[in-house]
Amino acid sequence: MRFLPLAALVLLGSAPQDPPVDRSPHGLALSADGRWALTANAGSHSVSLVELDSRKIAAEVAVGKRPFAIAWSGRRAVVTNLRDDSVTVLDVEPPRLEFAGDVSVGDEPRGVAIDGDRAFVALSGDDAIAVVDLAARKVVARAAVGDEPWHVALTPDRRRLAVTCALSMDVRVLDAAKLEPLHTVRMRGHNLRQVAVSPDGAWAYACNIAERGAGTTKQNIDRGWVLGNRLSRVPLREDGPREAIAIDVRGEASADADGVAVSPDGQQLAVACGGSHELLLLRQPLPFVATGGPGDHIDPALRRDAKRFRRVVLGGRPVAAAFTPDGRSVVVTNHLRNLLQVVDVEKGEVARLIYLGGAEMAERSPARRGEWAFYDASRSFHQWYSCHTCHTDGHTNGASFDTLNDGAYGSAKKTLSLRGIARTAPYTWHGWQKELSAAVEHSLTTTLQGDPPKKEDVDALVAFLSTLDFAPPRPAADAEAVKRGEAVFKAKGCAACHAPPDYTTALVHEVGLEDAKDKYRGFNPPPLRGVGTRGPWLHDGRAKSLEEVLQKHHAPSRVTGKEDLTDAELRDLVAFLKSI
Amino acid sequence: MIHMLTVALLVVGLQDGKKDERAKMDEPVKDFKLKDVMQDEEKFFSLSDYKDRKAVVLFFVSDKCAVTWAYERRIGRLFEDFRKQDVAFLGISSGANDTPEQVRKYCEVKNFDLPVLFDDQGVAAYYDVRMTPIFCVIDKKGVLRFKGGLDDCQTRDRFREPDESVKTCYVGDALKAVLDGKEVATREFAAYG
Repeated sequence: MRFLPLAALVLLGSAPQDPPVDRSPHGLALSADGRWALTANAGSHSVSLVELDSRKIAAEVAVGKRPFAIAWSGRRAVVTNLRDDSVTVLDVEPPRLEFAGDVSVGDEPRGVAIDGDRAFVALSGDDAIAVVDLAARKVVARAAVGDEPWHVALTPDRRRLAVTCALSMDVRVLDAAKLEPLHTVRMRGHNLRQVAVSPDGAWAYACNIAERGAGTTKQNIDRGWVLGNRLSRVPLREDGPREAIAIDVRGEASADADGVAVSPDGQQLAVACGGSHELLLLRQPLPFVATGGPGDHIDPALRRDAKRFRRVVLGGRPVAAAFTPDGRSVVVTNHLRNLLQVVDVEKGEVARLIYLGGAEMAERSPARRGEWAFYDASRSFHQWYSCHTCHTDGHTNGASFDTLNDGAYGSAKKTLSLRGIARTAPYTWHGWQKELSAAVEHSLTTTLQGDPPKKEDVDALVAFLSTLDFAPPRPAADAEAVKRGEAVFKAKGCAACHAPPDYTTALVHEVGLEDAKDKYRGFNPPPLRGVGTRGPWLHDGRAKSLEEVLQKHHAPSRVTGKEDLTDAELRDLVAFLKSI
Repeated sequence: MIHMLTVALLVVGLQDGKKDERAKMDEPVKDFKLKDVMQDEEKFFSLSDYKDRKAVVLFFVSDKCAVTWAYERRIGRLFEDFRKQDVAFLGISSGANDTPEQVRKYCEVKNFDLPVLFDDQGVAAYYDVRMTPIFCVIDKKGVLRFKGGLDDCQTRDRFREPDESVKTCYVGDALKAVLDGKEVATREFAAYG
């Protein structure tokens, strides 16, 4: 299979009844001369090599499951396989692309940067960076970073590594040779994704959301008080505050700014906004503010200046962006349209489309149509955010939002993961929603404050949500501890509410953490599958660790009346919970 | 305009201190100990924690105040300029409708990077603060040297682009005078709010 990948994919695509496999490109890397692109195709578990001028797909190679990001240097490329906990090393000499080997790296590898024979991989499940020796094909170093590292980028001199950590909401700057921390810049907002470094190595640029914590009313959304979208930068040479600009135009916001790229001269920035289906083209000088800002909407002078701020409509879901070395084009992967799009920077328009393969629009399955809706911020009031903004790829971004799902205003709830949702009814923290379709409709009209959806849209979203499954159980570092922890789980009566296999039940229980403001009493126990990767914990995110949950707010004596945990029991129980 | 009315009515939730107990200009002020809303851990700050600093500025802040939003960038610049000169800034949250969580979110998103103390002891009443944003400058000896609004922003449409109309930053001038050991020229300035 590994050695006949292209043939296999073509066969998959040419079966008479089945539409071709959606490539759903995510990660992107360009050759040094800018003539070729490599795309990490999350939908087809493959990597494509594309000649940009001729629009030809020269090769396509199967890699691990759910390839996320890709980096390319010389004759070597490396792609992270999110669901296989591995990276695939590729030999690339256009138009040739060949599989060279897989390397196990650790839990949920995402971003990757390459320097000669070394690759730096962000392990979002392990909260660590792994260094892979690409020649020896093994992990040679590891270092802990912040929570949920998402992307990485090297400075041009290869001395420093910038890591965006989504859950701890910071950018870690590391010495790339020693893998030691240099400084950490707090970003004060969730959804840190792609990171790009300025050519002088002075700044790292990344987008994030800024949350004001206000309830999801139309007025609050319009003011940018629910969440706003930011382009931020952090100093790499020395410690300093993050600086940011707001990118939202009032009345027509720029949502899910996942991708960011800097031009070779450092003067231009490109921001791929998946939710609002566009690429923002920004030119320096930009009004970055460190202290006391930015405002909740784009700077008015910047908005009016067409030389410094342009919006290019791309449709679908633009994800990753890269400038060509001449600075004249920005190449963008479009996940939902199965495209590479080449944007002419001077004209501010799409110059070329390169179709990577997938179902025609008319052939899209209900689940694929639901996926379009899930990532579509235009379903929210003034397109400020999509389902994905908070339920990151169907999981959770770790933030709390004050939606109306608790029947109250002013008591924000932690965003629930949607993994396994189709078989874990009822819904919302309070479990008052019995039907998934009703929950979807309610969220679209109250949380997103969008127009009432058509029935087929709700059905499509339910079909997409039904594809979301829990991450596979994580390999246990200490199998004995996990076994003992499972015994503690049973002995303390946890399974009464958190029953296997998904560690949930359909009932609602009062657990002493209820908020007087909420209309509904008690909580529906969230499934514990994957609980280790969805902190902070409890309905309002009050617990920063599983230990805090079990020792303090949700200790056995408070919920099951059993004796509280000894230190050893706690360690074992946490090991068990992280393994399921 | 609606914002202005809201803010005028919002008025700081005065915790009634003793009526006769008010901070007086050019006289030492009394100490307080309040909880910082910016940290997860319970941490308290007192004015006396800053007695070694050249000056302390109390910044009365509300996350729901339209005037504060309009001023926030200039407030940030003030912080940046004077932090380098050994001046400490302390936020005080005393809005009747403010919650610690929302004030924290606002100050985090705006990157003010300062402790913000939740006023449950009538500090706002003691300084006779009835709107936001208001600044009180206290010198090294613990003497109140200035109280009032940030600057002389005169643009009618000041919620949009007020920067151009600003000629004098009263808080900045007061701080310069305090740091130079000089008299503060404008010791009180009636603020918008």
